[in-house]
Amino acid sequence: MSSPFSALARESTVGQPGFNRWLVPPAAIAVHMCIGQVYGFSVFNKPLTLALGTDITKVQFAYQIALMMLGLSAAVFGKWVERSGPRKTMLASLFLFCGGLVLSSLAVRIQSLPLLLFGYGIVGGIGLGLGYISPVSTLVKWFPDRPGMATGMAIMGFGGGALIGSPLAQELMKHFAGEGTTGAGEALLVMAGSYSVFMLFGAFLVRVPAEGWRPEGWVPKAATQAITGASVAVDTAWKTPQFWLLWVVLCMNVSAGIGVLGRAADMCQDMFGVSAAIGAGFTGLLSIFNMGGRFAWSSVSDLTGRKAVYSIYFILGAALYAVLPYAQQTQNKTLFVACTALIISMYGGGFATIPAYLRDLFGSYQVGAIHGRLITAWSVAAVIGPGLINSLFTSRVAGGIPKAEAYNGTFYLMCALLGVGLVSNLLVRPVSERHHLKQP
Amino acid sequence: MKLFLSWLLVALPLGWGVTQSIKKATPLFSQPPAQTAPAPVP
Repeated sequence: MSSPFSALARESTVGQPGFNRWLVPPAAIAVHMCIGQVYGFSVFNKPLTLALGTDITKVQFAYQIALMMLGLSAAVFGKWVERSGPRKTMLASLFLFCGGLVLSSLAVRIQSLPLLLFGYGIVGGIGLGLGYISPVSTLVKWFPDRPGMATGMAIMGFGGGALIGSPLAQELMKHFAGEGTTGAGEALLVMAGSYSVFMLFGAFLVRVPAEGWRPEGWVPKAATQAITGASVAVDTAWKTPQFWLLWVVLCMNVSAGIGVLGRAADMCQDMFGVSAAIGAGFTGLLSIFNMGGRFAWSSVSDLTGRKAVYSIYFILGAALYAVLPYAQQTQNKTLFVACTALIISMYGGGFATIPAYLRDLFGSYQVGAIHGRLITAWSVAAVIGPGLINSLFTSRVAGGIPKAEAYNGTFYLMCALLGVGLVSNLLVRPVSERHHLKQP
Repeated sequence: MKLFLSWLLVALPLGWGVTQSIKKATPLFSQPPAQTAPAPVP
């Protein structure tokens, strides 16, 4: 007799002949757009500070823990994700991520900061990691002919999650706010319920391809310099120089992007003297480019190759950063907005292209687990990126440089980070044959 | 049909999110109101 959990097993999710692979991207997007809520956590900063009677840095700590746990859990559970299949992993992600939201709501009710840190940060953060890597690895396997475009769609969903999560939370809090309540607890609870429905939809729609499945009429190209036809196991992959070069590539790309994204509203106000509403509008615009760039650039990478597209990110990104001080000196807002929007599109593109780059180098056998370990670069970048920018900016302001000009130094620092990324990218070579699996 | 509905289910919230962001970004492109000179005191 089959167990009630057998429907969750990898074997039960194998797509039958005739299954339309285009059903998998919406399943992946459904999960990613829910967990992408983490990017919109800042809308809870003030309400949670009031509700818990604490200060804002302690509330923000929950977000930082969640991002750290995202990287750690993706790295630790990557092999389990590959073994268990996407359905079981997506459901685990649902329980943990939405469970984290429920615990956060409870934390508001009983006014417990530790419960918020545990619920949103640790429990929810683990859910984030599982939910992030599982659909990506599945899509790479369904779309061997267009892996960049496929992973771009899912990771675009993650970028879109912030666009949905922030206004949704604001609307809900407005609805529930009343005498003695900010509405944050109720909003978190409703979000947990709504996200559960979408994630459940994703988990039951997702399928994995049968062993040896190929898109109709598609013939794999012979292994080239850039794309290996072989597979490399995760335990071997992370010991290769290629893995660490890509780690640096991702870390530098993310650090440089966060430089603008993290301070976008302040930067716009300080450099051009615009109002807070315009600063917020600028952030909104960047979020759209962040989301669109994920799909657009990773699709471009299917045509240009991964190494070429990352070289574009780094060279063009550095050139655009170098133009920003000029935009400030001439008070050219249009130039500033255009450059930063393009920079942020490449920041998103960097996230979305990395799974396809990994698949080119290490094959699709354990690409989810390898991706999971590489994501630790994101966690590190999330700490060092804003840290570098903030400390340099603060020291320049303390040194008497006007706020409007103090950002210029940080832009040149971003150019340097992108330069490091470019060198790492150019050093990437195909993985030595001795690392290839004989029989995956 | 299943394909259409699946895509619709994810496109609707994403579309709503994008619309909200565009709304938020609108002030960035709006011109500051033109200063009108006060009417001359008779």
